[in-house]
Amino acid sequence: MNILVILRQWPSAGKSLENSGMCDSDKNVLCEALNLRDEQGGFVTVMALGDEHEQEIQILKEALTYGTDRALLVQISEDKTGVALAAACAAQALRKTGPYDVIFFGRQAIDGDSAHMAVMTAQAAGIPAALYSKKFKCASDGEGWRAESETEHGEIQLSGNFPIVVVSVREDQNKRYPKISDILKVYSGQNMVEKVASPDILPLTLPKPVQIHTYVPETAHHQIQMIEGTDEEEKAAGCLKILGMYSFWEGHANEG
Amino acid sequence: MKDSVINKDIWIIGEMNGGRPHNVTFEILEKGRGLAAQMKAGLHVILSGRSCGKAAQYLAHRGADEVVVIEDGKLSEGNPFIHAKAIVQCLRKEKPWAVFVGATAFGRGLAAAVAAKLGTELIADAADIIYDSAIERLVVTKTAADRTSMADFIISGSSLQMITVRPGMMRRGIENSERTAKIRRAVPIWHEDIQDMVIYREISAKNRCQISLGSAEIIVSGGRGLKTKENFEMLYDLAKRLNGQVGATRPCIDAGWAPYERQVGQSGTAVKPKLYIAFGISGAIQHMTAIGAKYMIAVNQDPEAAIFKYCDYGIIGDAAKVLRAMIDQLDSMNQRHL
Repeated sequence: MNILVILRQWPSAGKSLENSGMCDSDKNVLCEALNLRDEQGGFVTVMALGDEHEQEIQILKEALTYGTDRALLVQISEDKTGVALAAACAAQALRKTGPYDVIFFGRQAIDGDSAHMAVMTAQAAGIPAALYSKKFKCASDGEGWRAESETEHGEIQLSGNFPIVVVSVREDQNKRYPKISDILKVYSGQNMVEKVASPDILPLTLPKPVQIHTYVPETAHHQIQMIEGTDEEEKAAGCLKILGMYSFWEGHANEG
Repeated sequence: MKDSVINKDIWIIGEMNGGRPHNVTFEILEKGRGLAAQMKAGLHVILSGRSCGKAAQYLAHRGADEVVVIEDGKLSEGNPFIHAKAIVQCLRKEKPWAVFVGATAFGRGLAAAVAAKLGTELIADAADIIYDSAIERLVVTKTAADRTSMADFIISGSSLQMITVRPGMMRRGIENSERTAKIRRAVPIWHEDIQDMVIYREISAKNRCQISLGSAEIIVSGGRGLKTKENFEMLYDLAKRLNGQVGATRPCIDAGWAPYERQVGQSGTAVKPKLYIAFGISGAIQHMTAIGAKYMIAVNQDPEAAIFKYCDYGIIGDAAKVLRAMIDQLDSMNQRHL
């Protein structure tokens, strides 16, 4: 079984409050892919899209330390922002480097838990998609796959044949951790990240979002009042006093 | 959109929920009403489903100029792609200037499929939308690409602007039963496509968990500053004692500390409680933009944490220890009064 995990695309510039390295969502989906590989046999590839920023290379190296078989960096120019163009690049890259049976996306793609990247990549690649899968597995009869998905409308069982694009929100799988042997291999100086050149033919006329103005949201208008105390017990008591003052704490508003 | 656009009409792709339009559809409709009035443009809603004709009246009463109803037995509530197929046929004929969709799990898949089929870009999870008459474009406010601030975006290179709107961020407006709208039907022509290869089988109707963060008056919320799942789970004890609900940041959901339904934030639920207590939450922008609390208290051991810029009261301290102490003190006081 040939499995691909497309990692979350990072912004090309600017700081982020989130941790450097793979986000938890991508770690979850990578573990799911590796567990599936171990169960069914096969190969796991991770793919990131970017402009050779150090962050993308480090994330791919981190993925390799988990036992991933191959890491690909699809080179796309900085000005190719937007999901539509990124999806077109991803679709061409997976045709170039595949074929794959399962293409996993985590909950956070370029657009943040929106599944847009996954759906648009699937549409561009001509592959069907299964969204918000909580449990993906190969069918016991060897015919295709099964997945359970939970939406606002209820629980749904999905099934079909390969290939399939899966947006996975699974949280209950066996966790995996980097192995020392893989860490040594990855950081030995050998270049293990393969670069996939920007696709030859791109739909250059695709539209894109343009960021025109940045600002910090409104903070509290008034001065924050700090609740003091010599230890956490005193601070907790101070907090309860505030809650009592506003009657958020039923029954004993005047306590303390 | 590859075809030319002839007017600035706004189209909303509605979503059904238990026989009625989803609340997010009403929220977008209210926003659309204001924008359409400003631009002197039409406001249309597409409603698709197995049985959604009767629901069209709700949309008329909330200000739609026209409701297009697409009813077909194939249009199950769980499969956004089948809806996309039918809706795209309608939109190709109508050539809209803007299309809004609610950013529910269903809506996200639907919007992306529609955008892909129409060959356009999509701006996801809008917190607000305004019309800029100087550039004759919609300006969408959402989290910036670097995730540390908010930003305004426009779609360039396309006459069609597709936007998904976060539930809970906009007002729902007031129903007026005297308002009417033109209601017409569209009949889909079913062609096969690749997505038909996925078979959907509904197992059960929503086992709706009792979590309703959007309407909670008191929310006690936790972030990774609580350090462990066991510490996080103390929030349920405090919430019970305060008659509130438990919320969580995105990293806690990804870490498996809480189910997705408890996520407060950009890709979770927007909340407007009277009281929001944040334990071990850093104050990342994608979390804070989803909170419209009357009073906010934050507990964090980092005095420089961004969350202290947004709250009314702050405690610098170990979030788990403060949480434990609050529960113990509440129990102790309750015991004394028994």
